[in-house]
Amino acid sequence: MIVEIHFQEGFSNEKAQLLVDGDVVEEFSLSTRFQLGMAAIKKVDVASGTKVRVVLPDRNIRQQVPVSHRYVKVSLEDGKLTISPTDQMPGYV
Amino acid sequence: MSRKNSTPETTAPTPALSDEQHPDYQAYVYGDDEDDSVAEAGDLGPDGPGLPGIPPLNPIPDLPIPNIPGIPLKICSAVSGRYKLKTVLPPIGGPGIPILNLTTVTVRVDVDRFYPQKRISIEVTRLLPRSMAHLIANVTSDKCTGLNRRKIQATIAYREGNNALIPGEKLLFEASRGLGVGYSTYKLTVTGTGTPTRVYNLDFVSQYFDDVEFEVDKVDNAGNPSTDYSTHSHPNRPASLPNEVLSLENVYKRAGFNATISPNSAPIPATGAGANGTWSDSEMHNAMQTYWSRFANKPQWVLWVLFANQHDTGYGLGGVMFDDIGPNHRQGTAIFTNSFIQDAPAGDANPVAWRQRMLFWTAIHEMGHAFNLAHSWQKALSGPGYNPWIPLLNQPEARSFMNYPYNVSGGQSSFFSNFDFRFTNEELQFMRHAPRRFVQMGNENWFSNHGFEAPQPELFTGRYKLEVRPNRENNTYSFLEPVSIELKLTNTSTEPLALDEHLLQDGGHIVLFVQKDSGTVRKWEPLIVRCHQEHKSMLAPGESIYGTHLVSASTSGWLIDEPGFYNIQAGVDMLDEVVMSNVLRVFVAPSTDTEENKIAPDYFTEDVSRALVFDGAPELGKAMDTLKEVADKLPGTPASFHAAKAVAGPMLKQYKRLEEKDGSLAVVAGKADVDEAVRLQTAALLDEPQKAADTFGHIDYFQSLETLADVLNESGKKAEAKKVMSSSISTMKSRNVLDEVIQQAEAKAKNL
Repeated sequence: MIVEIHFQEGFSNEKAQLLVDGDVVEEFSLSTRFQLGMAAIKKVDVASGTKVRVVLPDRNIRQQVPVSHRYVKVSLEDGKLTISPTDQMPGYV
Repeated sequence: MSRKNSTPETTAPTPALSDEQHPDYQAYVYGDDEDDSVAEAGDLGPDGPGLPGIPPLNPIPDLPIPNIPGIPLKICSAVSGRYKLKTVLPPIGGPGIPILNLTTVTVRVDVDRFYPQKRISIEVTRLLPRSMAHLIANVTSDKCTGLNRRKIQATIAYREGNNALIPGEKLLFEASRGLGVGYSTYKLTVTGTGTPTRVYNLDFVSQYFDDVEFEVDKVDNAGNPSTDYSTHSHPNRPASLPNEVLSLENVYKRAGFNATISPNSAPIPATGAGANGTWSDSEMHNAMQTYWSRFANKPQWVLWVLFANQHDTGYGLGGVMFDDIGPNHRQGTAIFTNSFIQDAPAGDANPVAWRQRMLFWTAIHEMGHAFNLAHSWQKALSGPGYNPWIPLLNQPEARSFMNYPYNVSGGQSSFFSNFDFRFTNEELQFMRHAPRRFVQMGNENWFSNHGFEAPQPELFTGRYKLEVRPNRENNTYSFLEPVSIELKLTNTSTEPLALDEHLLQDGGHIVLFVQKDSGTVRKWEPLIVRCHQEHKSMLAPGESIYGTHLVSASTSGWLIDEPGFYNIQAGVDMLDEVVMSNVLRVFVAPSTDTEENKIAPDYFTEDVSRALVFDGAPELGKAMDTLKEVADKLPGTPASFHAAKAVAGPMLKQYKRLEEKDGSLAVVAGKADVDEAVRLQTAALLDEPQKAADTFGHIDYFQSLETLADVLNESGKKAEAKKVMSSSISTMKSRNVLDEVIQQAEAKAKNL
């Protein structure tokens, strides 16, 4: 199943890594585009039991992302990641 | 509190209701018997407590108002809108007294009509020395004291820029009728402790705070999206929502802008989106430059709205204000018809209307970003370069065009059940009253101010000195003589300074004003502006650069024509400061020759000024004939020197003309007539070299001699060419021209 991870609010030149089962599959920089409230969308192909993590190395943040839903919204608020899984496709305008 | 109608669903929608028909429009206010009525607070708005501290005033619910004999009516019609200073009296000019004080004052009064914000904002701009001030005052009292006699008091709560331009703390705006029923005079008084009271007489400009134009273009595979929405087409809506057809422009009109739709829209072929059929921001930016008739990459109240099929991001992107790259942001927005905004919820009562509503809402939303409006939940966001313009609170539950309907509590259904198709009060305050550069498209960067910039200090660093001079012994010009002045910019600092060597010559960096006696000050606009690649060179301490301009004539006509005294002052824009010149006072002598008076009406025309500035213009036949007449009939006068030079100019070379040939245009090179050109120019430039140098100014005069020498040299008349350069060098020496310039001329003469 493909899970879309939507990085949304609170990012400003933030280094990020996406880990699948402990392996870094992508490294990228995140900056929220204010006119969308979105920084990036990353797609991950997962199977049952796959562990996906988002890491912000500069902040020493490492957090697991649930893959039970089709979409996961990730924002950075007050120095912490907030993660909200949903089956509703996030829309941006 | 609600003043809205509840219209039955079965009623057919009208095209947008007229202002007066709309329940949210406040056309009148009236005073009470105590003669102490005060302004009505604005509608609380969709976002919360509204504006505190302003007691309510009673709107007139219905018209006509009964006119009871003997009882004075206290009825005041709406005054909201934009005003400008009635007259700007020129300052008294005189030698040494600056003549430049061009000041514009714009006042925005916001107390009635749609969604009044109870604010008065004032924008003062002084051109030179460049300075601006912006203030916003909160209305504290709004009295209708009689039939169309209105007094509105306000306290200044926000300031930006140079406070000295409009000092004070309190405002009194008065609108009064004269002999008729309507208002005829508008006056603004600014008072403060320890500051002189200032009174500004105003003219009403518009009921809108600014004018804006939208150009709507559609890509041909985007379907044919309607830009209207019928407010009762979907059953989920506020019960009080008026039944009408909303358009993009009337939403923005109600926000305070005189919004119009450009007639220049045209379908865009889908091939413009590239091979993949979707659009990137970069592609849209390119399309904006190609298809938008008003694209100019500069601040202007115009906006491009594109309806396209899909963005590269995919189905999840319904629209975007894509223009956040390059030097001028917020000029273009896009709405994507093949996106999630088409996904009406399963079981929706009217999916077609739901989609149309989302499309309409999205378009207004994206356009709102172009006005620099942030999302409702981002209002308080701040950081380097993106502080809110005033402290703001996030409004995640706001029923605003700038909120995401699906993110509020209860989701989109809850949002639209309580959405009045308007912006919040905070958004309206920003759009109507914030410093205009924060709001205007192509001006302040996206999301920046939205922030409060520190006032720009007036920078006068003393690094430069600008002189305006005639380069002749006296400042008296003869009748018909074009006035050429020389600008000299000197590095007066102790450090070398980098500046563009064309700064004074290209016409694009200087501003110059001419004042006749103590009369009106008129701006000089060069007839030639040269765009060139900027080439900075170092100017050592004490060194200067020069430029010369014929300032008698401007694009707006002749500024110096009649006999009398004139004041001339210039400024040069150094980006970080405006350097002002001295005031040059010149005298134009009366005519002493009847022939001059006869020629004058034909001479002081736009075409003649162009022919003089361009050194001849064969296509302007009448003007060239007039100049020939001046050269022939007024020999020996400075005017004849200029005329002869212009008449001879096109003859010096094979002058190219665009001519119609066999039904199409072709460039045709004319025949040079070097002998005749030399005869005319020799008479103009060399017969009386001192007099000629006086009237042309050094730069133009010596350049003309070089050109003449080159033409002679190319025609094989080396001896004559050398003679011209020899005369030039001799004149230079007698007029104390810089050694460096003389050496260059000597080198040229040697190489002939």
